[in-house]
Amino acid sequence: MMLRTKKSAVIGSSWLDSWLATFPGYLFTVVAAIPVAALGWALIAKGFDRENVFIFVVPLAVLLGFCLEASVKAIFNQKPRKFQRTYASHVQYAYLGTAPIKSFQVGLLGESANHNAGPVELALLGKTATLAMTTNTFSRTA
Amino acid sequence: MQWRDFFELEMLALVSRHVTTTLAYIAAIWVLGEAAKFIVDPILAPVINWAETVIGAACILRGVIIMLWELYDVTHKKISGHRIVLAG
Repeated sequence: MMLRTKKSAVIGSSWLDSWLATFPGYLFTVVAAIPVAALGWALIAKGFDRENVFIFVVPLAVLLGFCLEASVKAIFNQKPRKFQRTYASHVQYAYLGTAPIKSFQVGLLGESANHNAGPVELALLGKTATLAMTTNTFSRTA
Repeated sequence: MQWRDFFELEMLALVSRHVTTTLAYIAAIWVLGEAAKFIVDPILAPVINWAETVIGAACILRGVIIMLWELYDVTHKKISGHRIVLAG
């Protein structure tokens, strides 16, 4: 049985697996420590005491490493966005019946202003038509 | 297996994992630093030494923090909502 703890440790897997899971986390600290070391060097050049700069810089690097790790994990763990199901066509059908479809059909013949229907309106029209056909009330007048 | 055996095994695995990872990183940084000293201008050697020191210390501090975190996590592990009491 694999029991994952909050961090990288896993009870039940091999030592090598756990070691390999531990390894990448430190890389974030190393990456974060490079600019922080440059900052520390700049502070030393400005005249700050070397030991004080060291005490300031090392926890900062660790903190930045944790932030970097959390950010990267959050980016990679986000779920793909799903299409949200809407009921707009149901609402349109409930309110207007088949009138939009008829209006669009008329519009195709050049007798209505509705022929400039955009993609959303076309989708709604299509869905409303499907609804009307499946509910077998196409002859209903709105 | 007694809880104490489990506890000790887990502790040992955890500590050794972090110690070896930290040492591996320090060794890699040291090797890279030495290689860089050969490549870049020797005037930059103190900067490389400083960066090596900061990165190595950061790795050690991270190792200590994560190790303490995981030790806490292991000793307070909950399985299906029940806290395991690690008693010998």
